[in-house]
Formats: sequence, structure tokens, C-alpha cells
Amino acid sequence: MVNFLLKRFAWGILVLLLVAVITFFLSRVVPADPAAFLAGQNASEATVQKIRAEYGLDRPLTEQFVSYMVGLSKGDLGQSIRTRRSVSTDLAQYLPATLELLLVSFTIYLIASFSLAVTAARHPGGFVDGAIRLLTMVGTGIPVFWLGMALQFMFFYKLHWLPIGARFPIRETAPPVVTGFLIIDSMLAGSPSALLGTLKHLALPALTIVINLLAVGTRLSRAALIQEQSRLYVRTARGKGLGPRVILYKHVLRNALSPILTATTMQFGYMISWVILVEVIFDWPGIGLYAYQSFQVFDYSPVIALAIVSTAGFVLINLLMDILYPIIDPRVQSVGS
Amino acid sequence: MILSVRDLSIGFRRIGGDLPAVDKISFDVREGETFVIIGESGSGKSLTGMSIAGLQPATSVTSGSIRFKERELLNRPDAELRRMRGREIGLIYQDPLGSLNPVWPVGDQIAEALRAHGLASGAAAARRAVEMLDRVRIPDPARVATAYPHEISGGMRQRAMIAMALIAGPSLLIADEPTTALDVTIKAQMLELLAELQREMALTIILITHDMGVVAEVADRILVMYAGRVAEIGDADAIMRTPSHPYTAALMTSAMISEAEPKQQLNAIVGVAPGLGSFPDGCHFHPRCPLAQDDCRSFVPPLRRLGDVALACHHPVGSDTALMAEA
Ligand SMILES: Nc1ncnc2c1ncn2[C@@H]1O[C@H](COP(=O)(O)OP(=O)(O)OP(=O)(O)O)[C@@H](O)[C@H]1O
Ligand code: SF4
Ligand SMILES: [Mg+2]
Repeated sequence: MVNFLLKRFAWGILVLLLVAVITFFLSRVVPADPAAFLAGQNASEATVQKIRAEYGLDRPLTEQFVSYMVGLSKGDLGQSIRTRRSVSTDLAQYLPATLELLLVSFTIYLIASFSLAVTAARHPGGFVDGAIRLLTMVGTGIPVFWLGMALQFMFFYKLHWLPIGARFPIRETAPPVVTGFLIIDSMLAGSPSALLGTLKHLALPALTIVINLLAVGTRLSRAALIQEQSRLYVRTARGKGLGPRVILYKHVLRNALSPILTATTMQFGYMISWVILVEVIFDWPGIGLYAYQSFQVFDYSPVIALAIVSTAGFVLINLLMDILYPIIDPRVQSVGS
Repeated sequence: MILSVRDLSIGFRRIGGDLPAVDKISFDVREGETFVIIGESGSGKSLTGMSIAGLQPATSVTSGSIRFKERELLNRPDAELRRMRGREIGLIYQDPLGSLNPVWPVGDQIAEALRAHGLASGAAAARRAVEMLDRVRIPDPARVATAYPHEISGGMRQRAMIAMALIAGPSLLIADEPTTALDVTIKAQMLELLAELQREMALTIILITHDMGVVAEVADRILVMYAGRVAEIGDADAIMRTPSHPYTAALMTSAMISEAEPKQQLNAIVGVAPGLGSFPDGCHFHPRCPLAQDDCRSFVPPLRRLGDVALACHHPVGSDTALMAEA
């Protein structure tokens, strides 16, 4: 088992390396000059040259690559031309916002898709099943940027229920930064109003992400549940006098968990890319918005860093699943070890 | 009479009318006996057996009457039947691996039958599960109790299933082809175990099989089913000695042939049994029956008493002219 996980871990590192290499070269292929961009339109050639030299952009591509990879191996993600800080410093500031949005969305997604799937699987083909199917499909069919804007229009402009932009009410003082997660920091500061403000700001972006992923998630979990419901062990469970609730929660669900877990892993991957997009739509100060703003001025390092960080997220979640599988299904153990 | 089945029909809804899979069958099961239901694949044995416990497919439609200990069971709400399953009627099935939940330890699944009826809980239920595993002659029961189904052998799994079916003390055990998935030696051990448990626990057993060898071994009385109907029913010895229904006779012949030359899987019955929806008119067996006559093709033979047995046939094997004239 440990051996197996180590192998998976090594694979993860390899994937990360590949992503770094590919995004590095992709970003250099773009025929744009970040130094000129940064210097401004009226800058002299000498100023531009100076900036180029400062960021090593005047060196040959291979040399730039080698120095980037050497830096990367030491955990150095390079410098941002736009913010004039190291990318690592920027990430430390913006990553918690992204993680908070991602984790809150993921939690809502899990609860929602799961309860909808259980409800739908109770009477497959029935009215409730059909209604759930239709509504989640509509949610997924709407393009995410349009959905985001529609929700903003509804809940912000029309109803004035929920705020948009940023993570916290502008006029209020944010709780002191401890973890960077505003939910946790508000609780640590013992401030219910700060917590409420945080949750209100999270609501619309999180909702946008969840609605977008709900249809597929619900369908996959529903299919897994229905498949398991027709298994012979369900008849055995009924045959010894168990009630429908025990059969669903103890027998069926436990077996449906493996396919649901597989689907969830994939959904989590999609969620990472949706979070980046939603950050831009909602002005959410996370690494997605950070990379987007950097990208607009051809500031490469933050973009590569974003690719590496989101890939790392995906690799990590896969690793976590590999650990969870044998716990969920005792038959998997013998395969893994 | 522990169980009385009257005019039991089980059908499946189709556009243009229901398809009957079991067609008005009636039989009684006596307390303490081993009642064997035999017939080819698709004859409706499992549907009949499962419907006694209310476990027929949700898509099926049932009519008639099933009385167990003077209580009507057919078309009772599931919540009421649930209290009897496991507690008064135990069940074991053909495929023990598929019938056990792969993600829970064997002992836990056995103890569950006690918990379901509030007979024991927690550690007490777990302890009794180990005791029950011991009663079905499983060596090292404590270890098997903590094992997962895929970690034990096929024979052990079926023993565990028997333990699960009997732990809450039912008086009737319905065993649907319990030995079909097992090899010959294990099969014999399993039949022996069932006979022992029957004596120890005063069990009535309904055994479903398509194996004549099993019938000869354990049956007190038998019900021969063909294409959803009763062909012949009665005392096992009488039927085995002189089968009167042409179908029973053919089953016995094919069993004798395959016993004499096991390699040569000869089938004494030509053709195949009709499937759901393609039952012929008159006697369902007539396209394959060597004794069939014109009346067989048009008229359904009624169930009639003939000595120790009852059979549904216009022209029983060895019947004299008087009988034929009466028909
Ligand atoms: N859920 C179902 N839906 C439709 N038809 C069914 C269903 N279950 C059983 N049948 C049909 O009913 C008939 C009788 O089935 P049953 O399972 O009782 O046969 P059996 O005698 O037990 O055969 P076997 O020896 O193969 O187990 C078969 O023709 C089968 O196709
Ligand atoms: S009724 Fe006719 S066809 Fe049917 S079993 Fe008897 S002889 Fe054969
Ligand atoms: Mg069957």
C-alpha cells in the first residue's frame, strides 16, 4: 500500500514537472513583450531594456528555462513583473481566498448532489426524479459566465440580498488575518457579523460553481445508487427483515461510494477550473483573478504558477482518493498492495 | 399445514396484457417436511419461492392466496412482511457471493438479522453471530465473522448465508437452489447440514432445485413445475418410483442418463422449455411431450388425484384405457 502510494506520488511530481515545462514554453510562444507593456507607451528603449535585463527576459530562451527550472526546484516560482513581488508572496496572499471558495463550493456540491441523487434514486423514472433531472440540466446548460451575471443581476441589483465583488464588506473591518480563511478568521475573532458578511460574499460565486456542476454530479451518483439497488445483496438484506432506510444507508450507499468517489474526483478537477473563471466574473481576489490580471499584461510567472498550483490540487485530490478507495471497498486492498 | 398456496399467479405487465409467469398454482407445505420444487430454468420456481416472503420483483403483479400459519401474506404491505422475514421465514439463495454485501464483514451481516428484529444488539448480537457460524459447522468461526465475503470459500459463504437465515429462529426456510453454485462434495455436505439443522431446529424447508439428485436425497414431497404450472405434486417416493406425468418421467430419465454417464450430458427431453409470453395453448408441455394427443393441444389438463399424487395430464404414463376414456 505504502509502495503504491509512493509510486503515485512520484507520478504526481512528474505530472507537475510536465505542466511546468509546457506552460513555460507556451507562455514564451506568445509574441508579446511584457517589459514594453510594463514600461508604458512613452518609455524610452533604454527603460524597456533595463526592465528586460532586470527580469532576465533578454537572455536566450533555454537559459531562461534552465534558470526557471532551477528556481522551481528550490520552490521559487519567479517574480511578477506587474506586482513587483515574488510570485510565492503573491500566492500566499491570494491562495486562501481561492481555497476558501473552492472548499465551500465543494462542500455544498457534495451535500446537494448527494441528497438530490438519493431523492431521485428512490423512484427512478418518477416525477421527482424527472424534476431533479430537468432542473440540474438547466443549471448545467447555462454557460458559467452568463449564470454568474444572471445571479448577480437577481440577487444584487434587483433583490439587494447578496453582495458581489471582494470577499468582505468594504465598509467593515475584516478580522485579523490568522489563516487567511475568512470563515475561520471570523470565528477566531469571535465575530458573528464578520462571519455573516463572509458567508454572504461567498454565496453567489459558490452557487455559480455548484449549479454548474450539479447535473453531472447528481446523475452519476444517482446512476451508481440505482445500479447498486438492483444487486442481489439488497434482496438478502430485505430477506432478513431490514427496512428501506438501513438498506439504503448501510448497504446500498456504502457500495455506491466507490463510483461516486471516482465521479467526484473528476468533478473536483472541473471545479478547479470553474473557480478560476468565477473569480474573474465575481472579482474574487484569489489566484485565478491574480493570474488573469497578470496574463493581461503578459506577466508569465503567475500564470505558470497557477497552472502548477491547480495541477498540484488535482494530483493531491487523486492521491487522497487512492487512500480512500481501500477504506471504502475492502476488495480494493489486495489490488493496491 | 404451515403454508397453503392457492391459485397463485405472478405476471409481468406488458402493453397489450399481462404475461403470466406463474399460472394459478396451488400447493400445501406440511410442518417439518422438506418440500422440493423442481423444474427447468424459467418454470417459475424462484418467483413462487420468493413471493412467499414477499420478495417477488417489484414489477410483478400477483393474485391468489398465500397463507402462512393461518395468516394471509400475499399483497400485504411490505412493512408488515418485513417483520416476518428472517424472524419467521428465512431465505438462502443460489449465488452466495452476490447475495452477501461485499463491503461488510460476514459476522456483521449475520448479526444484522438479530438487530433487525430487536432480538439482540451490539456485542451480544456479534457474539451470537459467531455462535451461529459454529452451529453451521464453520471451523474458526470468530475469524470468519470478521472476514469479508471475498475472503472465504464458496462453501463457507453458503454456510454463512444459512447462519444468517436461521439466526433469528424462523420456522420455515426457503432455499432457492442453495447448492447449484457449489461443487459435488460441498453440495453433499450442504444437504447434510440442512438435514441436521432441520432436525435440531424443527424447520420446515422449501427447497428449490433443478437437480433430480437433490430430490432423491432430501425430498419428503415434491412439486414438479413446468412453464408456470403444476405438472405433478405429491409424495416424493411415489413420484420417484413411478412418475405418472410425462414431464416428470422425462426429467427422471435424463437424470438417470447423466448419472450413468456424467460426461455425456444427454437430454432425454427434446426441445427447450417455452419462455415468458410464448406458452402454447392447452397443456404447456405438449410440443415436447411424446404422449401428446389432439386434446392436449386445446385443453388445459386439470390437476387430478391419482393415488398418492396429483397431476395435470390428459394421458398419464402407463394410464389404462379406462382413464383415457374418462378424460
Ligand atoms: N423481474 C422480472 N421481469 C420480467 N420477467 C421475469 C422477472 N423475473 C423472472 N421473470 C421471468 O419469469 C419466469 C420465471 O422466472 P423464475 O426466476 O421463477 O424461474 P426459475 O424457475 O427460478 O428458473 P431458474 O432455474 O433459471 O432459476 C422466467 O421466464 C423469467 O424470465
Ligand atoms: S396433457 Fe398431453 S401433452 Fe400434456 S403432459 Fe399429458 S400427455 Fe403430454
Ligand atoms: Mg430460480
